[in-house]
Amino acid sequence: MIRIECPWCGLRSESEFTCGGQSHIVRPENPAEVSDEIWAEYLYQRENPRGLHRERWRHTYGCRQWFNVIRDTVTHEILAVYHMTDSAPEVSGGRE
Amino acid sequence: MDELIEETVLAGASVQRKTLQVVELAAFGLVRLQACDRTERGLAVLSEQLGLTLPGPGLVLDSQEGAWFWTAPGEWLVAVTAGAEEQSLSALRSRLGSEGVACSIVTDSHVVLEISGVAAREVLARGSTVDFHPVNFPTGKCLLTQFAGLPVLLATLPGRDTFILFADRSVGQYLIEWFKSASSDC
Repeated sequence: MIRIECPWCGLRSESEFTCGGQSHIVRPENPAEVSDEIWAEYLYQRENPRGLHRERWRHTYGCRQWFNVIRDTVTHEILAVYHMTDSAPEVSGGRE
Repeated sequence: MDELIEETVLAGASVQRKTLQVVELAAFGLVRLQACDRTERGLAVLSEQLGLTLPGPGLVLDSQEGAWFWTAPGEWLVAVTAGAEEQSLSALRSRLGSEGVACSIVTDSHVVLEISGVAAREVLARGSTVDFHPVNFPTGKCLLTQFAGLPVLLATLPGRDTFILFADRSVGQYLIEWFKSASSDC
């Protein structure tokens, strides 16, 4: 079980959280004008890296807030935790 | 129906062991306060309007009108004397106004348990991954966590070494059964 540092509640066990998948997905500005390929990519295509992954987590059993995490998918090491409105920080370690 | 009988959630059900006691606390009325502006500045304004320093994450404030428990950014649960909720609600609304803040009475949706005894911390640790050692969980602390598979608010009031557990009303009986089962060696 991994331990995640909630920005508000502190370090808690993974069982208190819900993973919301890849973060920083941007919705196309004009959905009616984009091609089917671009729309399908927005809806369904997700990264599946062996290494650093930027993802959303929610402290479901705690403060119920969403936040971002950078996790190494190989080691499960959490390299950064940041707010939903922040851009992804540069991190050292892990594999890009 | 001639008369409604006032009954608590657990109607007297409790756990009584040598080193652990779990009883229902019916002495609390609960009011929830939610603020839209969760910025530092917004919370400072709110504190000023209320005339107290609102507790931050993981903290409890024991004030004259009741105990304030932090439950989320911009959200607090206020435990007042049972039956005084309406009065507290009016007092809060008159101080805060009606814009950007929601105050509601949530007494009837909750069950409140008091867990005491020398084995309290050990038994609580059996239901959660939180560290209940006094260094990590001193008095005057509160946290929302998963306990016995359920979302609960656990707290200790300043200066008192007993735990208070807030959960949904419907799981009150289950929690009593859980404590009975988890404390058979106490």
